[in-house]
Amino acid sequence: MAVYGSFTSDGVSELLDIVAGAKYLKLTNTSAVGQFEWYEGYAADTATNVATGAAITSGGVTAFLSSESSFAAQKSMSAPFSASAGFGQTTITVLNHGYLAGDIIKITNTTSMRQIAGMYFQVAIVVDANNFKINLDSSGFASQATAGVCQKLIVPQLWQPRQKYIVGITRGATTTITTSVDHGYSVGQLVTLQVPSDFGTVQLNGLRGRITSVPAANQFVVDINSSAATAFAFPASGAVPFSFAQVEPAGSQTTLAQGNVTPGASVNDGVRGLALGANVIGSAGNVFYWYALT
Amino acid sequence: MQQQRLSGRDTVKSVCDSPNLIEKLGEGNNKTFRQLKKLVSKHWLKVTESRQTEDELTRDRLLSTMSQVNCTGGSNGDNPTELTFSDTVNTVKQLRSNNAYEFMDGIIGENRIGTSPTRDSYLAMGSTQLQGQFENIPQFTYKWNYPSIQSTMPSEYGAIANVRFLLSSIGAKLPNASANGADVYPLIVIGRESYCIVEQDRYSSSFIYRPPIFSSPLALNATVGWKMAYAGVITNDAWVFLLNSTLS
Repeated sequence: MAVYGSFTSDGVSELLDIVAGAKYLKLTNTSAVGQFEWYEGYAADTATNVATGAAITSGGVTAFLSSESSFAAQKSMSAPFSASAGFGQTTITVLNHGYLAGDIIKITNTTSMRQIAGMYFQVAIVVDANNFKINLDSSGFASQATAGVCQKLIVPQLWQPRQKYIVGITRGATTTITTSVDHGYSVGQLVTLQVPSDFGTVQLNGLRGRITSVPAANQFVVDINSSAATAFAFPASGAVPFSFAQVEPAGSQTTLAQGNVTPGASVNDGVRGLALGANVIGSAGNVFYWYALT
Repeated sequence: MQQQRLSGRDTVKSVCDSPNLIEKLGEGNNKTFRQLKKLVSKHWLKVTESRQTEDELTRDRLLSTMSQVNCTGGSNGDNPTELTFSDTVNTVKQLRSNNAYEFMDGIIGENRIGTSPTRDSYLAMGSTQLQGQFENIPQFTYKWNYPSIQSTMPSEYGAIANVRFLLSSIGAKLPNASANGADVYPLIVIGRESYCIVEQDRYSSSFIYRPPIFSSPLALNATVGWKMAYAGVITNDAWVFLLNSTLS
């Protein structure tokens, strides 16, 4: 089957939602004049420049299927973390990272800071081509990571809203939860907190609460009185292995919004298609037409 | 990921012998059971693909919304560690504390060499890649060491304490997700009635066959395919856990 479409490039990356598995793609840049081809079987992130016949070995085309947890290539950190107090103030250095604010990355192999290894984080701020900040306040950690590996999630994970990792808890008559990735929860929804003893606020472990407000995309307030609970803190790097503090959706709202989906219900966001890298999508503002065979 | 249901490993015979075949596969295409049976035998790949997709959707939905527990009893230096007896027992303890019902009844011991009774059990569903892991757990009882395999499932591999393990090639795998960057293999551990699939009114899966006469005047090509609707619910999130582990 043939599918086709067009888009205006942002100069960084583009996702083509083709639904079926693609066998061939032709990409035409009508603004800067250029054509690229990709065939099923090409290595990830590659393509061919039609005009020159040259192989594009990075920043090309990658086939993805969100149910298979499609990730971009791993990238190593080139300098230790630096952190100021506050969420979104932990800076990571990765040369030519290519990430955008809002991208979700998985961080592993963090030396001296193993308490976050294996967690997903959202890119909060892109500082420059080599530095970005994540939704974490690591200023109180005994030491910052001296090395590590980042890997960007190409497409949203299936089924949203979903389980999220907790990176902060503000105690009080109500409880404010901060998550490492935008949660997507809505007011009125029920959530269950899982806070292992390693993270301090163990009194909240297993408690279920209703969301009363959403002050930020990565924060929400639940009707749980945590005034008497102990403070939340990440365990020490050497404390691994342990389970992460997390929150999961435990019930949707009781009122129906427009349409037939209850607010807070998990919805399948799965997509399948082709991810286009920086070396085939020209500059920001370039208009592309594409044609694919499935 | 099979639970007494159709999936990739079921045979054509079991598909064809399904008592609800017409409801499941043939609704609306005006075929008799005999005609459908012939078609299903011919196109069994498409049929199993349909049911396996349903299994994969269920797997991914559970992976997305369940609380995750890391194995910590192992010694491979990763987070999570490899699966151990103590991790399994802790999971059972948690499910019991949450009043989750066991899925399977125990199997009473019999006078048969090399067998031992099994306890009332929760079910754990995971990847076949975990198979070798069980070799390292002395408390593991293989399915062929049960006193009877009458009440077991095709994908069942064995049991530890109050958990019976079902392994499948479409079991969950999270690539490079551990602290050390190794692959993580989540086990979906469930109690009875912890989640369900909501049947849609008169619509579950449809197996659609169009004979060649519909494709062109020369009747050269027939088409066969399937479609389905899917809605799932976790009925009690305290009765389902993801037990994450790596390989040793």
